[in-house]
Amino acid sequence: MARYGTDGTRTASTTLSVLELVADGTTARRMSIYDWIMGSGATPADNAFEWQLRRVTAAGTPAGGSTVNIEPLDSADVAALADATEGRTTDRTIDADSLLSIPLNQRASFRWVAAPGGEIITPATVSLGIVVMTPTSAAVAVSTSLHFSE
Amino acid sequence: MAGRVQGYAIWTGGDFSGPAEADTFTCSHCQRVVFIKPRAPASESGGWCGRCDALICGRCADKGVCTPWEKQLERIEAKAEQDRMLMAMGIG
Repeated sequence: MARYGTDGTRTASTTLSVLELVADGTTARRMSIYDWIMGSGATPADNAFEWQLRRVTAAGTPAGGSTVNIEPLDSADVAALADATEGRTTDRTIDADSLLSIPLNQRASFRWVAAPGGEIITPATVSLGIVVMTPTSAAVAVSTSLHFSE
Repeated sequence: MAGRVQGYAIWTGGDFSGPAEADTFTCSHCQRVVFIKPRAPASESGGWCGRCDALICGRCADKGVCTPWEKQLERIEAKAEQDRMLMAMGIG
């Protein structure tokens, strides 16, 4: 399995995802997410955030957003099949429960890394995957990065 | 618990005087990431599933049934393939 990285940026929203990473719409493959980093590049301020990693449970009818590049960590590897989108105006169908929920001061950053065997695995089903949400947030620029293997 | 660590988390900046770190494990049933309490038994962070011989989160421990995530993945993928075939046949 090759390893890839992608990142997303948006003005934080309490209802819309920062970054969506889903299986390709034609050729779906399982993804193993093993690294998640997030923070804010806005002027430092004491605002409360909650960051969540949640599953996309159905393709839904998403709208808006911008496609973001997914880069192979080894440039000799083939391009990823998965699709990444930042800044959706309407998200896909998302699980109400989170896989990882992190309260965080806007001034702080957080990183989670999985050891082999501890990765979050998404099904090889078209348009299913993972989103990064900020259900508690201030309307400032935030960024997140995901590393995964496919 | 040390031998079952499956992840690592680090917070930097904010109000911390230095980086804050924690070990994690990933629930083998639902894949929720759980923070490990140092030197605590498995029951304080979640539980242990004797059937799949792996750490699970508190919610899955309370359910009392073994539903490994790998099996759930297979079910999701099989259903999606079935739905795709039905649509290709013009049914559903």
